Amino acid sequence: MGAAAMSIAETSARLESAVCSVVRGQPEIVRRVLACMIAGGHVLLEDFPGTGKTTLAKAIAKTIGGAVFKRVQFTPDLLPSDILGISVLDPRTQEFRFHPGPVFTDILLADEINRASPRTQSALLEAMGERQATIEGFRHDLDGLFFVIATQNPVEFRGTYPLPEAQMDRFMMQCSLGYVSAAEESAILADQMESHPVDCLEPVVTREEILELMASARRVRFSDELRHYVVTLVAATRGHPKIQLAASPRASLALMKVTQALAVFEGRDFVSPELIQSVAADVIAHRMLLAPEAKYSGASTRQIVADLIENTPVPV
Amino acid sequence: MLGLILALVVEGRHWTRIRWDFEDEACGKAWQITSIGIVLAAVLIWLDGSRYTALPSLLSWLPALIIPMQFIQSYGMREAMPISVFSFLARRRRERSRRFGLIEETSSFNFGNALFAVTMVAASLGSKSSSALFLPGLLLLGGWMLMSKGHGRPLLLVPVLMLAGLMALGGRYALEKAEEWIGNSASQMRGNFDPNFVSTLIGTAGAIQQSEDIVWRLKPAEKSAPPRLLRTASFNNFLGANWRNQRLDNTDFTDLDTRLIGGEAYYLLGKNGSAQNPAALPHFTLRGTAAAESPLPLPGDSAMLRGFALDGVERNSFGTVRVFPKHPVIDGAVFWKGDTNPEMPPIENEDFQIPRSEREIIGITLTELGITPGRPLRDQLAILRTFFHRDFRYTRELTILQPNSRITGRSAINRFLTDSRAGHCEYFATSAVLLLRAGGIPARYATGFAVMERDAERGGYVIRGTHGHAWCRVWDQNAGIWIDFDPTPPDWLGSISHKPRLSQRFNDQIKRLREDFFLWRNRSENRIAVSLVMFMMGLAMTAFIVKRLWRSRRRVEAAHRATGYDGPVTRTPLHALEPRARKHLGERPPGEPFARWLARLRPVLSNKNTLDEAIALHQRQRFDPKPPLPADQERLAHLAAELEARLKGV
Repeated sequence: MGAAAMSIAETSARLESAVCSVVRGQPEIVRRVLACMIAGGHVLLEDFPGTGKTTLAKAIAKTIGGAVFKRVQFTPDLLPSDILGISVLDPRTQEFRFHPGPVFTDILLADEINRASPRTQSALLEAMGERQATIEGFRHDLDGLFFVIATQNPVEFRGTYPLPEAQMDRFMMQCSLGYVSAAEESAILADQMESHPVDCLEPVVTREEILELMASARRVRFSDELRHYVVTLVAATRGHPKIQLAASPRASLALMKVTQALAVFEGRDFVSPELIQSVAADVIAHRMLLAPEAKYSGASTRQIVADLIENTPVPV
Repeated sequence: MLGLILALVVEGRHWTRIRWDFEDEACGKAWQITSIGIVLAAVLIWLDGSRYTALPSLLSWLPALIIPMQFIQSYGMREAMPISVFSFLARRRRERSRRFGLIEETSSFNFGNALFAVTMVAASLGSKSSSALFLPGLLLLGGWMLMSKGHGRPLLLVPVLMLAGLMALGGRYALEKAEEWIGNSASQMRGNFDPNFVSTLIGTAGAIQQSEDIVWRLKPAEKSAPPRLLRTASFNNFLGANWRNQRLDNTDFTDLDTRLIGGEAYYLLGKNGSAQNPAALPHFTLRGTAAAESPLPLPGDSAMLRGFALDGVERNSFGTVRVFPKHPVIDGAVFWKGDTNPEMPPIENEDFQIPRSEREIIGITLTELGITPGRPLRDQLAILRTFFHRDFRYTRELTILQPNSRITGRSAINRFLTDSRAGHCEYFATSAVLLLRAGGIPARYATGFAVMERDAERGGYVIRGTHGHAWCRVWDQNAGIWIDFDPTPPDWLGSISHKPRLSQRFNDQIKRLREDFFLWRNRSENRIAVSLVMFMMGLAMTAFIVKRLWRSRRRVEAAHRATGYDGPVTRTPLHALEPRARKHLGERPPGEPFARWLARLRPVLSNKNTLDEAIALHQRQRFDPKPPLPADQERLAHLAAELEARLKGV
């Protein structure tokens, strides 16, 4: 292993351990969310209130030196301009001056994204997908490190606008933190006795180092055979009797990128089939729509992906 | 045969690649089919009349009944059934949590284990289970199962199998005991009939308890009267409170011949076996439930039987006729008023015996009545009839107690004849027999039923347990036959004939329906029709299910084959380890990565580092597109050889 590789492994470990010191008992999820960032994607956290979604986003932002963190609380009356920004007439110069919205940031926490109207949601959609924002006909490029952590609450349905499928597809991963064990929870209580550990978090990596990680993730080797496996897995959702809307090639692409990033965190320079299997449900499941019969018989897309993994022969 | 089909269903999954993606709904349907099948089987077994063997026979059918569930599991895509299929509460809980979007852990269980347990129970209950081959077979099966599950340690298997064998022996013993116990209580409940012994209620106090259930149904041929008394057995020796047949045992029974008269087979009941013209005799039909060796209630002068579906009929020298029915319910015609009896003539001393304890009072009563030995039969019977009808009272509330010592106290018969003068038919019949014998006439004690209740709705007569009666058989020297003599005052009929209760009427209805249905089913022409209809229905249902299943089938062939990737595939020395690892871990599921599968060997191996290093090297050589270093290749070959050697040793 060369010196460059050593420093990559060391950087990723530093980043991971810093976040894990705040977000207790969820090393798997933390690694996946970080991998999603390194892979250049966005993550949708679907979880109950109080499970640490915001803490996770904040912790990631704080560990990256020089990274800007912004948070938008989505409400039904939120307008696209509240996210993207707005041009205001400057009375002195008689010119419109652009006031950038919270989307112009490194890490954006979009809280309760399903509470905003579809119009506002789709404003974010373009920003997420194209890494650019078009405001009043002008294109504004977003920064190289633009990572959206969106959250939504799975329990409430009233007063929400479920995300359209196209927008769901823009998220590289959907995962849930879930509840931690009793021991972890009591450790969380102990941590926050005096102050919130997020507040004490010091930056451990620089923005440049993150960009370097992103570049190295793209260099992680991916064998033809595994590429074929990924495609087989995603293609198996098409024509599946329980699936109305199957996963797109974008899902295969995302699965490849996420596993490459995960390999970085594992300190490896190639992808193994176990990695693909471990995140497949997080990457594929949220992009699919269940057939009505399957929906009412209690099936879930995650379960279907798990079944597909079980039954699709894996390269040995 | 059925077991073979079942085994085929279970094992067939390994041979065919057709699978179904059964939803919970399908599981629920299978469970419904299974439940309906179990209930139907229970009803059928109950209808078949086996009340005490019903549970064991249901259990032995259970493996066949749960085939649908096993099918769902064997050919479905899942390994286990969610528990909500079986439990209404679990279903409710799941629905609620789905509505509120809660995450719920569904507990599920592997139906194969249940099937295995049920099959074991059924096998031990089966008729072959007592054979010498059964236990070794069971042990072999158990051992095979353990081996196939991958606990391949032959030495450990020996004590386990021995323990299992001991447990099986113990279970078998307990089962036999239970069976015996069930059998005993069953025969007690049925009041097992002994043609040579009957105990009476003479000398005991309390009200007489008899079942009101219908035991027989009788329908006289048109315009003929029914017989008044139907005898099941007669006895000639009175001792204590019991009547028995002296010097007779079961070997006394002889098979009856059949004779073809006018194209129909008749059983000849007469003692000489002579045939009579059936057209000249009155007859009635008799219908009821009978088991092997059940006595047939017949008139004293019955001559022939016709139309009963029997394997055989036997008669003893006392005229008791017992049957071996082909089916639980029998029906046929009885011809009576013949010129002969089923009984043999009296036996010299035995039919004159009077117990010593009763001799004195019988002598006194005889003198009182003015009967001297040698008076004609007709006179004696008239005197006795008048005596009993005028001076005695019939009661079902018994008050006379047999004294503890027969020497000092007066016997129950003594008190019946002197001060009490009230009793039930057993007192009357016993006293009359003893009085007749003292008067020089051979007499016997007869038990059976009185025909007294008309079935107004359907015509004919019903005979209930409460109609059980006792009377005398008296030898008429002149005619050379035995005749019935009933000393009980005729008002006894009134004391027990009352309108049956509603619940009793319901029971009667059920019993009638059941018996009639059975008779109808067992008639040969109906039998074929019934089995044909059942077969067609079964076929139609099977066809329906098969059709629906066929439509929804899915081939998992593609999934089981290789990925379809045709590029170059690297093989590492670790791949050669697969057959040996399979012995410890079992077959690798198609979706399980090789490395993760091999990592499960960790508990087996003492040195885990070797395995971990080998797996890491394998992963790199296998999935890293960069060509591997020769040193790494050598190292992996070395590690694989070491692992191979170590696995061999385990």
